[in-house]
This record gives sequence, C-alpha cells and structure tokens, in this order.
Amino acid sequence: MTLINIYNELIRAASVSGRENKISEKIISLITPFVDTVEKDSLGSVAAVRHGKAGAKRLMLVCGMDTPGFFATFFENSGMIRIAPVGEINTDSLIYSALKFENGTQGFLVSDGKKGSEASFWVDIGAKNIKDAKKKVSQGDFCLPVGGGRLMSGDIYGFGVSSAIVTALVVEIAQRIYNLEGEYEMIYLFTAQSRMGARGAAPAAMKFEADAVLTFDGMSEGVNIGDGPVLKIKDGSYISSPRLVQTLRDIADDFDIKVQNAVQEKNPSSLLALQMSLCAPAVSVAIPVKYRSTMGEKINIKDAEKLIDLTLAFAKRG
Amino acid sequence: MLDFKFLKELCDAFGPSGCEESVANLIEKRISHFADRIEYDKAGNLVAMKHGKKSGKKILYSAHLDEVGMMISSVNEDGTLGFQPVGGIDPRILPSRRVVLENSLLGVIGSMAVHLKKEDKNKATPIRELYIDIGAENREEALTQVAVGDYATFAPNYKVIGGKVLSKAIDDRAGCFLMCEMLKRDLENDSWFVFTTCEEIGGFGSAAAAYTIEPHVSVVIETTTASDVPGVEGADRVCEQKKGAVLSFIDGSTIYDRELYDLIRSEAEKQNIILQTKTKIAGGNDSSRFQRKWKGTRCAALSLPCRYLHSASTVADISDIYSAWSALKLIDKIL
Repeated sequence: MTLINIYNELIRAASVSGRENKISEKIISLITPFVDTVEKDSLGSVAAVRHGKAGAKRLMLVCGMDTPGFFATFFENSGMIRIAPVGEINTDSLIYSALKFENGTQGFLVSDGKKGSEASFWVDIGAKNIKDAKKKVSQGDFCLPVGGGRLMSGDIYGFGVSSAIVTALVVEIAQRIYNLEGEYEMIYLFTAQSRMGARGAAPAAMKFEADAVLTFDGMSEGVNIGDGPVLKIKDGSYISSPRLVQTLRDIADDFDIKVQNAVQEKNPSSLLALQMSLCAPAVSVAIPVKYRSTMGEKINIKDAEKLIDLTLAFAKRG
Repeated sequence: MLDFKFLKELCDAFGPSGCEESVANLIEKRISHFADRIEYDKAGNLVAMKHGKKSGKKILYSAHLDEVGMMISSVNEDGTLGFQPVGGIDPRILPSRRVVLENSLLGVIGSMAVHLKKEDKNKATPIRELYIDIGAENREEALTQVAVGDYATFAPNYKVIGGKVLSKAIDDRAGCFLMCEMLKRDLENDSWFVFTTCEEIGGFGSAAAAYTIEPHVSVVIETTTASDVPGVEGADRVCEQKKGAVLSFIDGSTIYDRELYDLIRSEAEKQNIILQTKTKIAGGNDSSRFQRKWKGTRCAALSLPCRYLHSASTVADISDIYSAWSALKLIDKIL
C-alpha cells in the first residue's frame, strides 16, 4: 500500500483520545503482515515487533494514534447536548462544523458566543427534546469533527490529518523495513491518549528494551510545511539526544534531505516519558503542520515521504 | 447493613498526608481477622490481600488514608502558630475553625477581625495571614507543646444530620470504610485492598503500589464534589446527592477504561443500582497512577458525591454510600 492509501484508511478510523479502539484495530490490520508480534496493552496502545538478527540493536518508533475531540457531558431540556473538549483543540474554529459520535450520530457544534473559559459549547443533533436526544447519545459518548482529509496540490487538509499521516508513515516504514536485513530489531508503538499529555507512552514502552527511540509527531510552531521534516531538538519537557540528532543531520546531508530544526518552550511530547521509563537515547522528529487542531489543519505529503526516507536510512545505518 | 460506628471512628482519626499511621493502625486492627495477608509497603500504604473463590484475576481496590490538613511552619512571639496547608484547602473556609494537633492539643484558626482589615473586606484572608491559636501566652510556652513541622487537622466532628453524615474526613475515610466492609465478605476474585498514603499531595502512595501489585483491574473508591447547592444549576452541579455513587468515564487526570465503565454501568442498571456520572471534567484521584505507572492497568473509579469537600464539614448522603456499597459488591461479582 502507498502512504496515501494507508493514510486514507487511517483518517476514516480517526479516534478521540481515550477511545482509540477503532484506530487501533485498523492499525493492527494494516501492520500485522509486516511484523512478528502485535499486542494491545491496558490503555489500548498497540505494540508491534519485527525481530532482527541475533544480537540486533533495538530501535523503537513511537507515535500517538489519537486525535483531540469532545465528549457529551449534559443534556439540556431542549435536546441540545453540552460537550467538553478532550485534548487540546481549537473549539472556536470548529463552530458550525459537523461532529460525529461513536455510534454514528451526527450533529454540528454551536456556542453561546462567549470567549475563552467562559464559553460553553453544545452539539445540535436535531433532537426535539431531552428524551429524544438521550435515545441517540449517552452521557460520556465521545465525538470528533468530520470531513477531514482532502488532498489539494500536495497538501492534505482537514481535522486530524497530522495524527493520521504520522501514524500512516510509521506503518509505511514497517512495510518497507519488512524485507530489509537491517541491524535493528524494530519495535513500533502506537500510543493511546497521546493528546492528553502523552499518557499512553510510558506504560506501552515499559515492557520493551530499546537502544534508540524515535518519536513521531506533528508540530506547527516556527516551521513551514513543505520545507522538510523537523528535528525537535528541545520541546517543553525534553532535550533530544544530541548524538541521535547529529546522526540524523549527517544522514540528511548524505541523502540530500532538507530538514528543519525546532526548539520549543511548550508542547511536551512523549519523549520525556519514554526517556524516564527506558533510559535509552531518544530523539523527536516531526512533520510540519499548519492550523493544528482546526478544520483547516494542513500537512504536505512530501514532508512525510522525506521523513520516511530519513528514518529508513537511519535504520539501515544501524 | 453497614456498621457506621466504624465510619465514625475512621473519620475522627488523625491522618493528614504523610502522617497516616493512626488511621492505618485502626484499619489493620479492624481487618486482621478477614484478610489473608496484611503488610505495609515502603510508601506506608496498608495492603491487605484476600483470596477469592476464582483464581486468575488480580483486582486492586484502593482508597486513600490521608485527609487534608495543616503543618506548623512557624511559632510566633505571641504564642500563635503559622501554618501551611497540606493538600488543597480553600482559604475562605479556614478562619474560626477548630483544629487538633498531632499531640491532641486543641486550637482555633484565627485571623484579623474584619473591621480592622484595610484591604477589600470581602476578599479571603490569605493563609500566610492566618494563624493557629492554642492559648499559649508566648513563644516559649507554645514551644513546650509544639514544634515546627507538627501536623494539624480540622477537629473531629463526625455527626449524622438527617440522612447524611458530616465529618472533616469523609474524603476518603468513607472509601476506606467500604473497603473494610468488602474485606468481611467472601469474595469472588483474589483482591488486594490498598489503603494509600499521600493522595492529597500528589499520590505518592498509589504510585508505589502500582509498581508492586500489577493488578488486572483497579477500582478506586473516592469522594467527589457535588455542587447541588443553591445558586448552581444544570451542568454546573457536576453531580448531585441522593442520585447514587458517581461512576466516572473521565476526570481531570484519567480517561477511564470504556469496556469496564460500560460493563459496570449496564450490570448496575440490571440490578437496579442507581449510579450517576459527572457533568463536568473536574478533580482527579489515585486512578491516574494505577492507570499509567509501570505497565499500566485498566481502571474504574466509584466516588461518593460530597458537598463541601476539603473543608471541616464534608457531607455525604447515606443513600449514596449504600449505592457505592452495592456497586462494589457487583463489581466483585462481574469481574
């Protein structure tokens, strides 16, 4: 399957943090032919392993598989369903956008017009009253914006595209590494609740040992889409291994892959959790994203393809 | 029937975070005939294990021993005591409250009279401007009875008012109480009852327990804020008393296991056990540690809707305690 085909499968299975069953089942079906073992842990994270040669080093590739979204908190007598966000999401940008609940019920997001923490949001599912609404949606049901994933001259835009493309590129790497006699044993982690402060990363990684870790993410601050993958040298919680950063830079030079360097004050990734639990050198790489967590979220497919090339060259180099 | 005399004993015991020994000892004495194994771990958690009829699954039940309190931070020249909060306490509820120190000495939290305040009289007095008055004439006399670092809590005050119980420490002695009652029963599953330390100051106790027990499922028994009070309507009420224990699907620190939530909710409905969920994301409990420390575990949380949480007079409804009790018995049966 091509990267775009994998992406198309995954964007249709987009799942909100904490309710990743749909996306995890899709990942399992896509990656199973290319690995030796696949399993889910108690939080729903997926771990897949492709064994290497005897004594092979262990390379762990990690990405979150969830997107931010909403959940139903309260039913008004009118049948409007009050919602609250799950993960960091630009709710103001989603007003009047279509939302879909896990059971397929659709509605659109409305607001009381207030700003910031004062604002309240509801989903209008067309219910006549509270009784009618409760027949279709239950308190605690999760929902997410729909209609994402349109391709437009090399860019893909829509809600949740960065999560889907990052997950797709890790699946694509697994597919292309399958037939290689690399120096590494490959461990692929697709973590749950990544948009809730990387909650799933540490428990998912705990049962494995790794010699090096690459985490994959999307990032929007200080980078441009179409200018190549990003080496996240520092984020809100962690400094990437200088040795691994230099190795990736050397490979990028050798293969003429243009990369962007990023130093962030905010946006903690799963890197800290993984470093603390694995005690292994780790580096965070990303694809640049524009308008993150909005209906206009946008990525460039070439950035993803270049990140795949960079990672494959890293794995082959050993 | 639940033995509420023991809930009174638990609620009146002294146990701020980091100083939970007397509560733990009380529980240990109570459960020693019912548990198959009892031990204290390095974090001070009291861990009681009881075999069930079935084998295979390890179920962890947890409630925290500690309550919010204060720690003496200075002894003033006039014999009054400066203090820092232990756990989250709203400064507005502190003035004129009776407190006890760990040596059973009684005191009262004092503050400048409102007519002497130069700044906004409607503003809460910051904790740094409050003090504990133990009746000492001066610093020397006070130092014969207390030292910097001593703990204090709100004074014991357990009472039944109408169909409700009131105490300084319903959070979370009510959870400990229900676990003690569970230990009296013949259980279906091998169960570990963990009475955790330091939940109110970050959950160090549960973090340690998560590493040592590795359960298949953890069930935290807690309290949560009910805002069913005058002037609060609709979703802002979060949860309400007399509507059953709260079964959470999300809170401020945990998204709970969906299958477990659905299973408990649907089986409770079949058994006519009334449960509710919260209408706002708020608070957190030891579940976040059990869910994500070490290899992680599937989590559920059952909480009593309480008014005036983290105050001298937290109030829980007895019908909600029975709802939680029924739900716990059900959970043991269906897991």
